[in-house]
Amino acid sequence: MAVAESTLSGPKTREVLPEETRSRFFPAQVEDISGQSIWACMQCGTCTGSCQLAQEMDHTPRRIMEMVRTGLREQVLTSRAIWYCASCHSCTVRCPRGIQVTRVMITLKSLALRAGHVSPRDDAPAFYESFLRVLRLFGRMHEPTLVTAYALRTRPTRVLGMMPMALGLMRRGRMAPLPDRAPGLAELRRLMAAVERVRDSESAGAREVGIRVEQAPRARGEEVMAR
Amino acid sequence: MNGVPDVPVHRPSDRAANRLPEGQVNRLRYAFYPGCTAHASARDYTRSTYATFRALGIELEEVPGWSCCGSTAVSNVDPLLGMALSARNLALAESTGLDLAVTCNACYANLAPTLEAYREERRVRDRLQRVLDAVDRHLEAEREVKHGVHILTHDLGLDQVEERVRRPLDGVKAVPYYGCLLSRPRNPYEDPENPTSLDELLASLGAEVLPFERKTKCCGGSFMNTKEEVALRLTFEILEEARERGAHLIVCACAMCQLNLDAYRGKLRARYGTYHDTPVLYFTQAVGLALGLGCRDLAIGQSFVPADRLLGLR
Repeated sequence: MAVAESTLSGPKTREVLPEETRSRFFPAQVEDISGQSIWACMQCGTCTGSCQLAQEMDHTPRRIMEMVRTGLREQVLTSRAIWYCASCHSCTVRCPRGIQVTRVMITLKSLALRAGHVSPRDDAPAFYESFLRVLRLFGRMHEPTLVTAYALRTRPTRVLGMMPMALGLMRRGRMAPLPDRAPGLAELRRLMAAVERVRDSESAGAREVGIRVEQAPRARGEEVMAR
Repeated sequence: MNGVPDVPVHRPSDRAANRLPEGQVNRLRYAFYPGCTAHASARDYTRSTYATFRALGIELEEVPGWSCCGSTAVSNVDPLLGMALSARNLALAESTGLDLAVTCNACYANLAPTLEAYREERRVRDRLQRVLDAVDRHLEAEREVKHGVHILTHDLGLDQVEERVRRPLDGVKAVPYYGCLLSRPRNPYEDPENPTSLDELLASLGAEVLPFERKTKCCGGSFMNTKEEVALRLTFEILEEARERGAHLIVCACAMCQLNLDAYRGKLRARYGTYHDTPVLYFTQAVGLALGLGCRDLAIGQSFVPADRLLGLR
């Protein structure tokens, strides 16, 4: 991909890339959500050097940082790299500029999901979304429901592969057959709705100053559950 | 067994059973956030936590009405929701008037940084307050969140642990596995690159603590579900270093790390041709053993790779 390759050579490319391939507001949006100053990055590559997963990524963490600054919104949000971040915070503690790179990565993942830009080859988004749905249902995680929901969304045959682990856990008394519901589930759902409202009101503010904002595509049935 | 204190079986729902006996001086008391794995895949962790803390004179009171903290998954979908869930749990914990004890690294790494951001980042505080207002909760942020390891090493003190050791782990070569989130992104008691509290804790139990380069490397976390090959590589590297160093035991402080390191040995053998038989215990189990508690109280038989045989306890 010619555009992505050109980011290797650093800030100069920002001036030579044609305007229409770049999102001018993307860097600001990422800074706003993550609370991190991405312009402080000096492209030293310490994040990449510290990353245990960098070898699996299509773009290294250092390059992702530069691609965000360049405004390569589509390329960043559709990259596989962001889904290989395990949130281990190694880059964060080593960054000489004090940037919490992990928070930037989390922001990019959430933006990709909201924009519906997720690489279909990666199962992590389906896992995270299944997690959220089980949370909405019970208020506490229930591992058997989670892995079943996840398998049904990705590859239903997965359930078979999970059986030995399930039996192993069950034999050792480490599986809860029934979900454990959090007390105050109604309150928890009100909390989730309040999060949506806070975000919506901020999105409205952002739109006024010209920041492009995506709405979360709601999963089927989620509205019903959220009530 | 000699010198084994009589510890009643813990039932999570029975809070009164976790209170100390009448007359015993009540020095340390915490609100306790068990986390969702407490009644499931890390049931053994919870049980050994209650038994060991009680034997050390530390009282734990389950946070009333706690919910899931979101783990790392929810933040990836929705960072604000991830923090909001933690903020609500922190508010619930605060209502007990106690500092909060957490034993799962993933929970700790949600609750502690949320508290920190709430205190230090005005924008985060404003957002979270608006969300909490909607459910009539309030967070003062005047209480601390502590990992169980640091409650033992700093609040109670290593000398106090050492004093209560009845059956030292003599001759046991152990490696401490901290995982990602005990020392990162920030922990007031640890160097993020080279944490040492678990090393010191194990040494105070009489174990021989080996240097362990991968003590803070990632075990793969939830990638075991979504990118199994990647997670298996990371797990293999950790187990392989422990084996090369001649460790008898890996001691961890996280429900998810324990499961990843313990439960996939068959898959690892199929993939890499090496079978690792090093057991993985929670730090609460290792401490409890040294205190003289029995395997039953510590739920030691519930791991995939048996540890009771190695430790000659039966």
